[in-house]
Amino acid sequence: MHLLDIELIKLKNTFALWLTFVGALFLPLLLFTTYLFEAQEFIPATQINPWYDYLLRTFNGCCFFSLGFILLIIGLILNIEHKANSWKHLFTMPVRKGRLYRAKITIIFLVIMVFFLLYFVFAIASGRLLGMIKPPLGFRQYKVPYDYIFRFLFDFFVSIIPMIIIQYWISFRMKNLITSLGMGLFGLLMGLLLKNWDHIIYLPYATPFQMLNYKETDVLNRQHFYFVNAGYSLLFIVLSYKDFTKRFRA
Amino acid sequence: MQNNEELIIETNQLSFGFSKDKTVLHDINLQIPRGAIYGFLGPNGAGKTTTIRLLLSLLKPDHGSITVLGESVRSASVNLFSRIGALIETPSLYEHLTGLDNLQITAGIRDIHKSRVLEVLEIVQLSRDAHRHVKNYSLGMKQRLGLALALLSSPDLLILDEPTNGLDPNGIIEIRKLLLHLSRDQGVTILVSSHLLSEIEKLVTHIGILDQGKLLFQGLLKHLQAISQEQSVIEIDTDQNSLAMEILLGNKLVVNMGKEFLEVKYLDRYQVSAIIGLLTKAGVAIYRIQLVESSLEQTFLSFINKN
Repeated sequence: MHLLDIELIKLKNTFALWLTFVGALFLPLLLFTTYLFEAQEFIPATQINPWYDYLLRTFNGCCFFSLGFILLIIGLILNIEHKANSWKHLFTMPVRKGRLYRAKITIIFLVIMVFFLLYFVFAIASGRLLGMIKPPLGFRQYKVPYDYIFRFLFDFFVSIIPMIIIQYWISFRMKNLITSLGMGLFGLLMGLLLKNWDHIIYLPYATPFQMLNYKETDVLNRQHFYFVNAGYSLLFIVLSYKDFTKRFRA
Repeated sequence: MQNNEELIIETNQLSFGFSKDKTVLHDINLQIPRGAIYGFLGPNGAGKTTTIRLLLSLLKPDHGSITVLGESVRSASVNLFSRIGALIETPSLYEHLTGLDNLQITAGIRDIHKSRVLEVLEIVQLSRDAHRHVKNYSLGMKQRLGLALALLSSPDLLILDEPTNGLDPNGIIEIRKLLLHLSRDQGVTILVSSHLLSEIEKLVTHIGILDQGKLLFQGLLKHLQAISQEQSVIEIDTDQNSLAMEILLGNKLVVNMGKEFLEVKYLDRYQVSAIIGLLTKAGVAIYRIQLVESSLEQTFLSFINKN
């Protein structure tokens, strides 16, 4: 059996799995109810595609709310091993530690990707439903700008990769879920507080906040941003991998 | 330990400390022959679990070498671990999953067929509860599931750290039967640690006594029994203890004046009638004569107290 299949078995009946669905539904549901009950506020001017405004709110919600969910999902996935006290069991099996590291981080990335996929599926479905229930909102007259969504998703995902790797590192090192979550939330708080700092791009927990009010023609220096995040991702992957395989003892 | 036996576990001058100032294990030379059920005995905090973690490469020794199944653990291939089944302290179980799921996870990693999963469930008598969530298992059932995980790979060597911890007497007997069966019928070498001699004395063939990180005794169980017998005495009380002592000493017996009675070192069961004969012949009235045997438990404790 592939290690990834084994990781999937471990996710059965876990809060992490529920959170992936419930967390992804949270903001689209919030937006849906707001648009539904305050429809007058959101009726677009003529010739204006309402999806852009709606999606911008969805993106901003993603920048603010999804990060907490992601930290919790990572913590909960690692907590499956901590709670079962199973590292020692895994390390006495005929499998290299590197493979265990890779399987775990792969399942984390997969779950996070599913989270975002569901998040946007729910968001678009909610927009379409609003178009049917409240035609003046104009969602039925205009096409969903999928390019805009994919572009945001790509940039946002790139922005959170270093944070995911650091949080993965913290979470396999810290047995206590509250501690690892607290450290992650502290990083996010610092990122939010220092949002307007000139060198904020170098703070991994802050980069997702640079995606707030994301415009298609954003001023973000993309090239530089991609390089920094690729460098950080590589650095943290190498360091956490070495720590896991060489120093981390059950 | 006999040198001509093939050793499944051998450590040489093994030392370990969690910090530089505090050494937990001092020059441990474990020798566990093939087919043995080795009782690794010692009070809590003696260093048993640390030794086991070293054997399984979960910790790195400061000094010394470890050879398991003929391979040095330090440079061991992952294949070595496919021949070892281990249960360290509490079993590592995913409580949100069923017993079957737990076994399938380990079987998947070890690349073991599902038929073996069903087989070990049968061995530990958990077939009927395989689909129940582990969080609903009793302590004994969890321990048996932990054992099933260790047995999955049909190991040549089974390392069990206090497997009967927290079990009721029936549970202890069940585990003992199971281990005896594995040893006798399948030739599995077993290292089982415990802090209670009474729990494992009916099970083991060899004993190692560890205290404060030092191996105080290692050998066959019958050797420990012999030491135990050596510590047994015959207590005697007479109307003339001084005269009785003189007579017994004159007959080359080892006699001490105890707190209340004379104590003669016990050699064999024929000794009692011989002593009675000698003293009666000399006109000494015997008020009491009793064989006070030293139990294995007392012998074990005497090792620890001496340390």
